[in-house]
Amino acid sequence: MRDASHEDQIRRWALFVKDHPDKWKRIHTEFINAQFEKAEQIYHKLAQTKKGKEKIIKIFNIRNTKGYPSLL
Amino acid sequence: MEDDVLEFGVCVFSWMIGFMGSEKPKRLFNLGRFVIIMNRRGIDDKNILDRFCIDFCGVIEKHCEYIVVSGFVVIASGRTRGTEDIDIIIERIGKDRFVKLHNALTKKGFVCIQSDDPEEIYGYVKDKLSVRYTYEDKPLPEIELKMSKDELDEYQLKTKTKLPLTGLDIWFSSVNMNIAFKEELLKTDKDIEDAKYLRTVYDEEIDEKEINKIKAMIRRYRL
Repeated sequence: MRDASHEDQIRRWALFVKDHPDKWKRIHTEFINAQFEKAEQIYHKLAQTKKGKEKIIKIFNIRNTKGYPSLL
Repeated sequence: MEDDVLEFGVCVFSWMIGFMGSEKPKRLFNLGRFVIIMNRRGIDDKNILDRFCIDFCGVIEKHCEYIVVSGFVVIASGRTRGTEDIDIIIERIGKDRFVKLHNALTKKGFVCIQSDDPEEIYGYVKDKLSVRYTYEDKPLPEIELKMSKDELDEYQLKTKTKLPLTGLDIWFSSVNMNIAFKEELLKTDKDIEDAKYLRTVYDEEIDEKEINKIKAMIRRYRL
């Protein structure tokens, strides 16, 4: 279980979202996008390494490899 | 703010000049600036998950009833935590309708990770398994799609709702439903935090009687 300060932080952010309907979305969008942009960078790098594409196929359990031509 | 208005005006003017002169690169450049200014002004502030979900739901809504459930309900409501997938439940449909749905998804650039054979994919969902869809050649993010499997899922579909706070015109399972699932069935630290977050953000909409009714249904159908 995470400590109480983590729960406090979640509650503080929830109240910010509730009280600032015009402000939270931009901050949130940057946060969400950053995760996917970072993951994409990593997988792009991984794909260029030896057996990198195989690893990506394994990570995502891709059985329909035809749908992901850049991994073939 | 005034700078933004000035910049916006200059941008629109130069875009029009570019358009009249048919200078394609200039038009594209200025259109890009137009989009950037729009983004900065909050007119278009959808994130990667929002757009992915809107694209996917835009296809399935033409074929069947659906609801977005669990983690993305909380994230779309503002919680800052990671997720790789968006969970969607669709109504129970027969093979022919599912094949049409799958083909429509394929046409819009989605692929199923497990198979490209719609009949095989239907076999999975019919057997109460989930199937995963992504954009073609892009394994992230993904949709985890299930078909309604019991009266509880039917009730989720029946009580679906739109959540204006999210700014998304898509169907979600109700806030009370998500709280009940997270507190009664899922129960991980993350789920308990999600439930607390929903209880804070939507405190005016919380209906304890309804939550308890759903918890009783969960105990009956899922535990």
